[in-house]
Amino acid sequence: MNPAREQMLVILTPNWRAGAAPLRALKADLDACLLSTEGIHFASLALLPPLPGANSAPSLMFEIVSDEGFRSHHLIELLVRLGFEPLWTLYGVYHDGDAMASVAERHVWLCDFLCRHCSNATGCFVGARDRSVQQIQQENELFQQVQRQRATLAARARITPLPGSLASGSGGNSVGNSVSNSVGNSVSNLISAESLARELARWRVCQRQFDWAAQPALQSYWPARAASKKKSSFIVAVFKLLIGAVLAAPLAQWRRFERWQNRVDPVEVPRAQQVHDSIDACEAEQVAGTAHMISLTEIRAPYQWNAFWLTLVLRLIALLGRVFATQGRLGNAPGIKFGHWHIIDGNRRLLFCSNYDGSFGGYLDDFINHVPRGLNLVWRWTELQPRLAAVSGQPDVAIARAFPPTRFGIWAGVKYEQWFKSYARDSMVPHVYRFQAYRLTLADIERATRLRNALAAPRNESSDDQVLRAIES
Amino acid sequence: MDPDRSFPGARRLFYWIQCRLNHQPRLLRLGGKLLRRWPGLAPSGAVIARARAIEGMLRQPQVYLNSAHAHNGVAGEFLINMAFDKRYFDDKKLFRAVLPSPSLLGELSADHAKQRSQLIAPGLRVGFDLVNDYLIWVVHHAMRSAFGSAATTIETGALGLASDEAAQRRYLYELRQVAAQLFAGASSPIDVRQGALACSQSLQQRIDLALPQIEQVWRERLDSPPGDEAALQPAAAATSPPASAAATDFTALLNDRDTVRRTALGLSWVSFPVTVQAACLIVRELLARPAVYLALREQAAALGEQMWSDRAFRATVRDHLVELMRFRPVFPLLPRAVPRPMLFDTGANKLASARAGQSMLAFALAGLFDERVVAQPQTFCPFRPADASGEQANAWRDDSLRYLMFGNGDRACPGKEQAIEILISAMLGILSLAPLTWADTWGRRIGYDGPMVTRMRLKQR
Repeated sequence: MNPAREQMLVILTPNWRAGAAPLRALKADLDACLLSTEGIHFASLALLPPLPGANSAPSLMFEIVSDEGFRSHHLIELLVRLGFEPLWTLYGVYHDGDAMASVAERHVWLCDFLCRHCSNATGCFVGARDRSVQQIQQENELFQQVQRQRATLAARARITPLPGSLASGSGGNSVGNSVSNSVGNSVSNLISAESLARELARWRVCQRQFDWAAQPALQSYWPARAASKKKSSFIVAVFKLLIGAVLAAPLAQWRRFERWQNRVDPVEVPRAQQVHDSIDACEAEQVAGTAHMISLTEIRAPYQWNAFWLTLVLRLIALLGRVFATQGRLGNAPGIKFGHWHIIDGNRRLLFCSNYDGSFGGYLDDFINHVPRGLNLVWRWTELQPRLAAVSGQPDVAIARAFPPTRFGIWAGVKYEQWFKSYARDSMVPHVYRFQAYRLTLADIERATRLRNALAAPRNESSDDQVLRAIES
Repeated sequence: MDPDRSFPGARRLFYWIQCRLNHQPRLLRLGGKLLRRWPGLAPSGAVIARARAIEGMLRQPQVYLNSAHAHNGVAGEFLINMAFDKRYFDDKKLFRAVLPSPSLLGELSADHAKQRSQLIAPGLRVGFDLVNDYLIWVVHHAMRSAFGSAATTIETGALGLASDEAAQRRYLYELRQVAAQLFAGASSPIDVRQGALACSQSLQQRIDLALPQIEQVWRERLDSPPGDEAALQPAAAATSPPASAAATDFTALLNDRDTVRRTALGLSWVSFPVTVQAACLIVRELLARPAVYLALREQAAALGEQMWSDRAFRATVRDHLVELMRFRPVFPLLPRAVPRPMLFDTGANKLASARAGQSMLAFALAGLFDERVVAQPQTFCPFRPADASGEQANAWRDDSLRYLMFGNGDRACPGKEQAIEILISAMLGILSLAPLTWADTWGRRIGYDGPMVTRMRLKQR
C-alpha cells in the first residue's frame, strides 16, 4: 500500500445520537491524548449528515493525520492506551455489552470497535512529506533560536546586506572574527553576511540541544531522486532544448485545443455561492493556523460502477502525488499539507478532508487554475442530493444539483467557476473539534528544513548563502 | 521516524530476505562453510566466519563496538547496545545482581513447565501451539520473578488491566515487537519500525509506572540475597573491570533512576523474547532428529516424576540443548561496528581492511562449525569432551568457544546460565509429553512475525 494512504484515516461510526455538545466538552482531554502520541499532525471530529433519504442519525467522523509508518491498528491501540478516558466517553455509547465490564474488556472492545470502523484514505496527497511531527517542531524551534541568535549578533555588529547573488559575496573570511572581539570598534564592527552564516553554524554546533540537526533532513526515495536530478549537464540541457523546439508547435496546438475544450457556455448557476454560519465560524477559528475543510458529496448512480472508476482515479492521484509531486505542490497548487479522499457508506458517498494554508477562496482558485483536470476527474462522479443537517445549526442541502458539466471527463467542469464554488461550498460540513500539533504554514516548515540542511552542510559560499536566505526569507 | 530512502519496496524486500535467511540455518551453514574456506569471499571482508577470528573480534569490545546494535534498540539502551564504558559495567553489575540465580529460575520454570505440560492433555490428537500454549508462559513465569511484586503492575500497565492471560499476552506481544528489531531492525520497513516504536512506548510507560516498586523489590533482594545469590556476586564482579569490582555497594546504582529504568526495560524486552525464540529453534532442531528426541524422551519416561529434580538428567538435557543451539543459534550473525579504519584478521593469509564506521558481522553459526575448534562439526553429538589435542572424536578443541552462540569475552550474554536453566526446564516439559510431531504440513509448520517465531503447532502421536 502507498504509505501516504496509511497516514490518513477516518473512523466513521454511524448513528451518533448525542449531538455536538459532548464533542466540544472533550476538547481538552482529546487535545492531551493526541498531543501525547507525538505522532499526530491534525485531527478533527465532525458530524456527517445521514445518507439522503435514510431515516437515521448522523455519523460521527474522527479524522486523523499521523506520521508516516503508522498502521491504523497501531495508531488506534496507541490512542486507546494514551487516551482511553476521552475515547471511551466518545464511543462508550456504542458499547452494548456488559455495563459492568472491566477496564480490560472495555479496552479490548474499544480497540476492536475503532479498528472495525476505520478506513484508510482511498486517495491522498501529502505536501509536508517525509517529516514527522517531532521533526517539524524541532526544526521550527531551531529556526526560532537561530533567528534570536542572529538578532543578538546584529545587536553587537552591523550586518552587511545579503549579496544579490553568490558571485557577489566576497571577503567572508576577512571579517570572520570581528563579531566576537570588536564591540565598540566602528570599523571591525561590521560583519559580512557570510561570516554571519558561519557564526550561526558555529553557534548551532555548540548547542547540545540541536545535536540532532548535525545531519541534513532525510528524504524518501522520490524527492531525493528529484533533488539529485536538478543539476543537469550541458548536454542534457541542449537535448532538452532541441526536444522543446521540436515539440513547440504540437504543444501550442494542444494548448489551443485545451482552451477550446475548456470553454464555458453561458449557463445559469443553480445557486449562488453562500457560506453557512457554522462553516464561517470554523474558518474564522482556524485563521491563524492550518485551514481545514470537509466536503461530503454523493456518488452518482450506478454507485458501484462509478465508485470503481473513482477509486481508480484516486489511487492514481495518490501514486502520482507520491512519485512526481515531491516538492509540496499538487500539480501547481501550493499550500496543501494533507488532503485525502475516502469512499464511504458502501460506495455511496465521497468524503474529502483537506488541511491547507490560506483561505478557502484562494485554495479553490489554486485548484481551478492549476489542477482543473484532476478536480474534474474526481468530482465528476459526484452530485449533491438534498439532505438534512447533521444537527441543528449545521448546513443542509435543500436542492439537488450536479457537478458542472465536463467534456471528455477532464475539461470544463471546474471552469464553471461560480457553479463549482457554490457546489463546493454547499458540500462542506463543519468540524466540531479540531486538533493541530503545530500552527505553521508549509512555507514555514520547508524554510526551517532548508535552514537545518544549510547549517548541517559543509561551510562554503553556497551553504552560507542558503543559511542567510533561509533566515531572511 | 526517518523516511525510507531506498527504492519503494526495496527495504521490505531486504527485510523479507533477511528474515527468511534467518530461518534457513542450512543455507547459513553452507554460506559459513564457504566463508570459512575462502574468507576473502565476504564483501570487503565484512563477515568473519572462522572461530578464532570471531573470538578475537568478540574479545576486543573497544575495537569492535556493539554500537552496531544501537539502531536496533527501539526501547533505548541496554547492555547489548551500550558503549563499553563505566555505565556498561554499572548496568551489568546491577543486572547480574538483580537477576534471580540460575537455579532459582530453573526451579521456577520447572514448576510452571510441569503445570503447563499437564494442561496439554495426553493423547490429544488435535494439536497445540508450542509457542502460545506453552513456551511463552514457561519463560514469562520465570522471568517475571526478576521483578517480584512489580511484575503485576508491569503487566497491567497504565490502564490498570486485570492481570489475566489477556493482559499478559498483550505485554508479551509488545516485548516481541520490540525484540524483533534486535534481529532485523536495520532493514525493517517503516511501518514495522513504527509499530515497534509504539510497543516500545507502551513498554516504557509500563516500566515507568512500576519503577518505584521495581526499585523497592531490587533493594530488598540485594539486602538479603536468597539462595545461592551470594554465589553469583563473585562471578559478576569477575567480569567487571577492577575499578568497578571494588565497589560492592549497589545503593548508588539503585539510587540512579536512569540505571534502574534502563536495566528493568532491557531485562524485560531482551530476556523473554530471545529465550522463547531460542526454545522454538531448539525444538525444531530436535524434531529434525527423531532418534535423539526419542532416546531423550525414553530417559525422561524412565525417570518419571523424578525427571523434574534429577540433576544428572538436567545435565544431559543441557548438553543436548547446547549442541542443538550450536546447529541453530538465536543470533547466527553478531554485528559490530568499527570506529576507525583498521586492518583485521579474518583467518585468511592476508589481513582485511575496514573503513571507519563500517559494520562487521561475526558469523557465529559458521564459527561453531569450524573444524579448527570442534572435531566433526557436522555430527550431532551432545557429549563432546574438551580435548585440546583434538585426538578424541567429536571433541571441543577449544572448550572456551562452546558457548560462542552467547557471545564471548566481556560482552558475552550476562544471563547465559539463567537462559539455559529456563530452556532446560522448558525442554523437560516437552519431554514429559507423548512423542510430538508436526501438526501442520510442510511449509506451514512455523509461523513468523518478521524474524520472530509466533506459532509452532505440534501434536502428540
